[in-house]
Amino acid sequence: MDAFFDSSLWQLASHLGMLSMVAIGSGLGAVLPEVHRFVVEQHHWLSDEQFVAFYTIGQASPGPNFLYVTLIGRQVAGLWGAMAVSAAVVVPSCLLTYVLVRTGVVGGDGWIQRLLKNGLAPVSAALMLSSSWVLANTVDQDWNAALLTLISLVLLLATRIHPLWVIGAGAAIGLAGLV
Amino acid sequence: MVAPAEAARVSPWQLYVAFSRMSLGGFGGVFPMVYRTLVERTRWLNPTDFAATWAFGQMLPGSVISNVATMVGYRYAGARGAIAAVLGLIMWPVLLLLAVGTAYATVGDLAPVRRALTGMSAAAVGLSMATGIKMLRNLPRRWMHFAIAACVFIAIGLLRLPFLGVFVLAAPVSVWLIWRAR
Repeated sequence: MDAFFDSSLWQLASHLGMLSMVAIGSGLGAVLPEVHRFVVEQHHWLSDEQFVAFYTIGQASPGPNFLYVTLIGRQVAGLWGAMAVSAAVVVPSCLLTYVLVRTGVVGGDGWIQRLLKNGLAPVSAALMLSSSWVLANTVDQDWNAALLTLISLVLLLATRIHPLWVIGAGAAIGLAGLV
Repeated sequence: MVAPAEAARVSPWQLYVAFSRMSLGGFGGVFPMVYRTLVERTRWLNPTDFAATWAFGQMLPGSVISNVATMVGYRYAGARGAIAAVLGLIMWPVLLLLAVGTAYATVGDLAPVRRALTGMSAAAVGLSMATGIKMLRNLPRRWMHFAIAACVFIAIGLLRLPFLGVFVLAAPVSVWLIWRAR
């Protein structure tokens, strides 16, 4: 049993499962700095380039964006890693939600709910910005890449363009060798 | 308007299919698809119910959309409904990502693939920043909220202090400060 708890599969799944339980407000996008620190800096399971590629593929694929961790699981421990990590980030929080809905703790608009929602909003926003800052440090190694990030940011804030177009344009620009 | 309680008799299978469709249709974020499906197409939720459900999904730990799936599934078909909705949400994307992951392991080192991914990544960082800035713009216009956000950003984004330590400290302090400053 010790061998199991020492395995990278268990360490990854349990750590991500735990992170999913503290990710409030914006899901696993917000805990990205910690995911990066854990899998790239501490355990060297992935290179910086792989981490960013997985995050990007997760953003561009259909489905919830937090499933970028599925690709990390696959890289670290194969098929079972992918399955275990996907389950680890979904099952605990869904169980908690289920219990809270079932018992009626969640469902109204009581003062506790509003208090928590308002009180955690600045923390969630800051976590999201920290995530993009960590990504930017890894991805935007030269002025061309930084400029592309900036253009994408401005487009997404100023227009109602669908994000997938922006990411697709990024792929085309990259393929053309401009970044 | 169809009141959800009257419209109810949704089977777990219907929930599974609806959430599968939302999930596979949701390129680059599932929120627009979820709204369109739950409110406009199936009318399982009216706009007010949707807003409340989404707010709870955000407040609870974990991903917003899987929490919403749990709540909607439970509301219409109990525990089996919740399982069906969550399974519908993640099963197909996970299978798809497994295939993409295998493809990446095979061709990920090729120069054109790397170049395309570099461009995509640079654009995706912009997307992530835009989300953060939108969350920031939705905060009440009070200096306290922005001061808290700035401290957390400096601690985690710039100084890279340990995430859990910062979170465990910042979350209650933020709730307390904002409650006091009402």
